[in-house]
Amino acid sequence: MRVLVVEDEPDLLRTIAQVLREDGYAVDEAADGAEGLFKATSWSYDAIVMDLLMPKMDGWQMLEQLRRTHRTPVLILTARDGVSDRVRGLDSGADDYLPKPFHLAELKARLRSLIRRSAGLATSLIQVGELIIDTRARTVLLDNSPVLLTPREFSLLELLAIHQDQVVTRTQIYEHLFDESEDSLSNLVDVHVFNLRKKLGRDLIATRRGQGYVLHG
Amino acid sequence: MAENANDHSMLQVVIPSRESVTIEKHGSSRMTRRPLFTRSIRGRLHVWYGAVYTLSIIVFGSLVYWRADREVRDRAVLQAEAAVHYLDGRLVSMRVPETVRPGDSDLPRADIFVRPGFPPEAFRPERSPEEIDHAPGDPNAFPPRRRTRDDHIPDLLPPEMQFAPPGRRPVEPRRQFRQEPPGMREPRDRISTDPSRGPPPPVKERPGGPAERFRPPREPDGEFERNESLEFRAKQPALDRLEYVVWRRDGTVFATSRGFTEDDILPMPGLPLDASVPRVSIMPDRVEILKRGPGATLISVVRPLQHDLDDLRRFGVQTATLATITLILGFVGGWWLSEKMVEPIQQISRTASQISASSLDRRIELDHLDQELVMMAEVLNQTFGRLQHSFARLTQFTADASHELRTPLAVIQSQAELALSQPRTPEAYRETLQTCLKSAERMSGLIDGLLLLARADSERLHLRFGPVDLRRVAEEAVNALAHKAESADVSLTCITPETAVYVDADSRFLMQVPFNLIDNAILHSDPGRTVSITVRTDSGRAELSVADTGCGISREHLPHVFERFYRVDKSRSRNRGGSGLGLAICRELAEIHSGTLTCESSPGAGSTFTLRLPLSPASTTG
Repeated sequence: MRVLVVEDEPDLLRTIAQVLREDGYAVDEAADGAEGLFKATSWSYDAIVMDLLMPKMDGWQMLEQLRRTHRTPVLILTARDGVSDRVRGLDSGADDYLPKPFHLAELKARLRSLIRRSAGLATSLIQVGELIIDTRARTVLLDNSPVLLTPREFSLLELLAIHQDQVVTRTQIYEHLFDESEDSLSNLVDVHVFNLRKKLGRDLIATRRGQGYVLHG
Repeated sequence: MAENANDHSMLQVVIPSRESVTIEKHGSSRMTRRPLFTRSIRGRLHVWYGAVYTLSIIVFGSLVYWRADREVRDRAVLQAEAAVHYLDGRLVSMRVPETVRPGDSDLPRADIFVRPGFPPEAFRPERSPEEIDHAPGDPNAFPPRRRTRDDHIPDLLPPEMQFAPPGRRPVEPRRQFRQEPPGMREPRDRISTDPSRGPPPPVKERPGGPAERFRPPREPDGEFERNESLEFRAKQPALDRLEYVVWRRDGTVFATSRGFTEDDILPMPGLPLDASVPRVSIMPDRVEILKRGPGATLISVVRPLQHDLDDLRRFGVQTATLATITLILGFVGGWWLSEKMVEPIQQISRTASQISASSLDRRIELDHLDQELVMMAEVLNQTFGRLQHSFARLTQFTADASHELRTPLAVIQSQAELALSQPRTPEAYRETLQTCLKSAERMSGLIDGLLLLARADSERLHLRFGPVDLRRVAEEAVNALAHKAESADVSLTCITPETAVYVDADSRFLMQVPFNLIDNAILHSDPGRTVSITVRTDSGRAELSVADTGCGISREHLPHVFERFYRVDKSRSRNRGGSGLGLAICRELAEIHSGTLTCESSPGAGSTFTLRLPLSPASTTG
């Protein structure tokens, strides 16, 4: 999962990015609304966490422009205490609102919820055959026995599982697994796929030549 | 610690809730106790207009009444004059003898009372004057006639000149003759028994008797005696129509109008024989005209005014009653009307109170208002607009303040949580703690700034003013920031005059201004640049300016730089710990010291901030 964090307070930006990275997300950072809009429209993110009061372009404007073209889930973080701000933010197209200061656990949970909802999932558990993927705990159970995966592997599995029975292109995988700061080598994806097949079974992920990968239930 | 507690309570004062800002209702109950008319516009209006109206009615009414009175009298005079002239003309044709014929008075008349000197011809007006010449003693000449009610005795004056009051029947002919009144025999007897005597001697006066009213003929020449005319007036009966008396030269009565009886016969008033003009006497209740007629007769015409005056009085009463009724109606109607007019004002009051209580978006509608109220409504609307703006600014301020405080709080919280979520390296912990500390310091600075602004707003800054040398203030600030400037590789230069520059200030607070300005300047200056601080006097004021050669402030931002929380380049200044309150605080402090803080800037070249303060009188002695 790839997330964009837009926040003009540098310490807070740093902290949130670190929290999310430790949770397995690929995180891009933006320090103002203009930069945030640029990145949000350049790449597809699974979610965006943003502040409302920002220089150059405030949260509402960015949201308004983003919503013309993208349906990316948005979580608003702001210290403004007015109810009207929340209402305006939600009506402008945000999906959720979290006031500052917040607990990290709540931030993570709401983010997960957003992503789950946008993927059309009801709970945090995804079941594919004998495979049970817990997106909250970031664990995998195969025939009720846990399988150990690296964060990257889990993210890839999660992505494929969410798009169950759909072809996921390599580009998409890149976009959702790595953040902008990482130099991605194309065969890294292959490596992760190979490892997943090794741990979970050969038949799980099918390759579509020239297109991408598919996870079959 | 106690002071800290106070500080917290101060912070609460900064953010008043809208509910706590109530519109004070001035003691309306007090108003109703005062007398209604002195405190009410309507009351005063009514009193004023009522007084004006009443006064004008009284004035005009009196004027009209007086004019009518004069008209009445003038008309009476004209009528009397007309009667006089008419009588004059008739007497010319009647050839009135100047005196009674000698034999007349000797004629005994048992059934016709004839007073001495009172010729019977005058009482036989149905016979033409030509028929009057009868031989004395001829019983046929003077047949006794008993006047009856039906007799219509023509006057010398035709009816249309009698000027009887309208609506009255012509005066019934009074009995002009009566039988042997007591007391008159004596003179008659006396007269009849002594034919050799000349003109009858004067009769003794008798109380109550008719002879009392008879006066001896008197010399018509001579001055008119006032006494006699008074008696003449006093003994005249009340009349209601024009009456006349014509005397012969010797004082005997030749003719009278129907209203007089023998009882009423009066002494001749005095008028010089050669009086060519009639004498007009206007009295309160009658008009009298005396004129010398042909053959030295004396014509007296009396036109009573009583009836006319009664009419006039009735007219006056009617008018006064009508005026009073109109006044009352006008007052009542006016009261109702003024209530209608005042209604819009009360409506405006209601609308206004609704507006201020609920929301400040609404405005009073101007369409249906009267002209005078439109201005008031407009002023009210403008006031609401300003209030709304102020509230908006206040809301904005509190929102910004909470944002600025919550952000560092969020940093501390998330940093701490993150650090605790997993085992970390000591380095990581150290970094976390440093970040937390930095944020805490930022918050602390912000809280101090907010408190200062709050205290300045509610005027609770306890400043101790005294003469302060502005040069020292500048130097202190420079010294305090020397270290910071050095680390930023920015040099500070300070130029001050030789003589002291004294201002009335509290040095603790005033120092914050150059401190903030220099701090900002260092922040915005690139390494290697210079920030210059200058102190000088200019046209009676002390000036302290801080100039930098940084990026400058564009024209669109320049008016707003002193606004609270305004930041031109937010991310940059926040990186360096700015909170957006520095300049706002500086301006507030400048104004508290009765001074100004201004900024001039050219983008790309740099900015100069100038603090101007009034010179303290101590400067001149300095």
